Amino acid sequence: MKPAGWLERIWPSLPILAALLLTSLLLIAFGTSPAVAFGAILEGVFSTPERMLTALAFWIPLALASVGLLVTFQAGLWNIGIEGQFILGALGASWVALSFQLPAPLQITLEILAGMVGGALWAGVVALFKRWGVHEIFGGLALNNLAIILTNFLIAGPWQPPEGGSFRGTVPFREDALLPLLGSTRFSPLSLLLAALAFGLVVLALRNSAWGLRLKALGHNPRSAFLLGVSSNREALLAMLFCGALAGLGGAVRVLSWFDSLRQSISGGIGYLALMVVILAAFRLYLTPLVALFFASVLSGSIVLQLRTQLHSSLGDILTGVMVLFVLLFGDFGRVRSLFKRKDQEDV
Amino acid sequence: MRLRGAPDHRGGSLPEVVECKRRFGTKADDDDALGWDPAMGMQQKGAAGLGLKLLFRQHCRQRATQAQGASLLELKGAVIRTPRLDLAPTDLQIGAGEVFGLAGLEGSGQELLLKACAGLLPVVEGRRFLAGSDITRLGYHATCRRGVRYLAAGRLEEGLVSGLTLTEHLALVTEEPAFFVDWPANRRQTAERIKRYQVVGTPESTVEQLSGGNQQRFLFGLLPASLRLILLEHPTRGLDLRSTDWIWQQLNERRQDGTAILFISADLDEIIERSDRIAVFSAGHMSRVVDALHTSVDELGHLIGGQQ
Repeated sequence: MKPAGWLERIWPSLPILAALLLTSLLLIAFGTSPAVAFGAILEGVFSTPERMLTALAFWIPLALASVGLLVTFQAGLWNIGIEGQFILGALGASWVALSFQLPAPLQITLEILAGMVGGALWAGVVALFKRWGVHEIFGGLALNNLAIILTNFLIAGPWQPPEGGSFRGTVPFREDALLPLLGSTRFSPLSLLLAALAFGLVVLALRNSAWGLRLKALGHNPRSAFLLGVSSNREALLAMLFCGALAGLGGAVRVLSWFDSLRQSISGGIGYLALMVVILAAFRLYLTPLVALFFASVLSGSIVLQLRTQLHSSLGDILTGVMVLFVLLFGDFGRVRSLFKRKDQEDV
Repeated sequence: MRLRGAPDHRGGSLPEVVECKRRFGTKADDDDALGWDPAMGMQQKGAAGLGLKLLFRQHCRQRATQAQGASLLELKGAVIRTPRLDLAPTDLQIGAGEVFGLAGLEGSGQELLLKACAGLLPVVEGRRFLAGSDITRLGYHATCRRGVRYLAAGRLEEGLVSGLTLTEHLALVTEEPAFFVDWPANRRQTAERIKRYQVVGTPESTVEQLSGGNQQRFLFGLLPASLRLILLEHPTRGLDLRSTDWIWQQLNERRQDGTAILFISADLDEIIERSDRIAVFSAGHMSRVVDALHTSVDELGHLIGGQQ
């Protein structure tokens, strides 16, 4: 039984390698050299500073949503409604952008606050439903759809461009309403600062605050936590509001820097992507932003992949998706070992 | 049969009690010094020890009647409803410093009563009083704030949080916590409690690494210093003799300060030995209250079977 020692140590990297292997086999099956394909992805991320900043700009909203999810996961909540909270953040920011004509600093502050309130509001509804006995997964999914419908309604109705509703998006926001960008990229240094602040806040809350400890107890054993004096309803609501606010901030950043107007698919699934990020990071605090960066790199690098090869850029999605799947299946060394052990016993 | 055993002697100078103390080498003026180990010794001496055991119980009984002041917990016509079982209207009065045992087959209603006393189940009809004030509508956390604690039987299911360390548990139960946890201070306090409550473990141990006896000791270590009422579900289930003795020693120390103890046990010997008064549950009905001093396993057995 000696090999278990080193096997356990290198185990976490195995699902990643297995995912790369499987994706390579897929590439070969489609008649493309894996080296060329992965090279194209790397080129898409690292070849020029602009491309690196683009990956970074994609990373910031994703990282905001991911670290927000750390809070709800700590409380044992499956906040699948994060997609809707992200969209509501974008809607909140767009509402301020379209309705007010203020000086830039005030306008942007107000937009960001409105985004956070929007996300928190949507999360609060999920928490309220949970109190009434609706599981957060179902409440969250319903609200995700509702958020998309609301976006389409606003684009086609009240917020449609003067030339008529096109179902594509609103008119571009004023220059003063957008986050200041670096050069000709979509990267906004201000949003990086906000993301760093948010991450620091989450670290403080989860590691050092009494609130974070209560969430941890709630996540591990709600019954015992309740008997030890933790008010589950209150803490669950606060965790949802916190996560919703961060997701809303992500949505606001997305609409104010990546785009310049409210679009039909404003999120593009970043909320769901954030769930995958946190799962791949095994819910670890410091790993989460790094995994988010990896996701952002692969996905934004895939665009070059499409240019270089005849493959669709969704190869990046396939790669990350397979990785998460493999981590879920085989990532927990103890679980895998017990699976094999049980089989041994059955054979005997 | 006496209902609420009217105490026929008061004061600590009863000859038998003095004799009892003398034999076990305790000072006549020190009630606390008579621990529970001698009692266990007596139990093992069989028939010869039986008389002494009775004396010992008398001695403890007497202490309780001394401490027993006004009614601390009172249920008036309390009805509790659950999908599985309803508890018929129940009247119950427990005095400060009293140990009250609840017997009966599992699921006969004693768990419902205990949970209702803690505010974990609503009293749908009737009233619930604590030290004279009506707490019928208070939930569990509000009841806790009035000096009540509930210790469930499943220590890792309903008590401790697996995966959290001892230090994290102590920080969790801190009353009026600061926004940020002072981890070094909490670690020191945990080390101190570990020592005082004789827990085999370190502040960094997670609770599931502790043995059952140590988990129960640690749960006691988490209780606030001053309490009015402790509600316990099978406090010594699955524990060895030493841990059992230790638990009761702790509870008896607390009753000296007027803390009332209400507990469920499946062990009739334990109920008779440790309680002042006993109520027996059978199919959702509470029997008359019997005096532990003047009852027997036989009588309790009949009550458990539903005979009055």
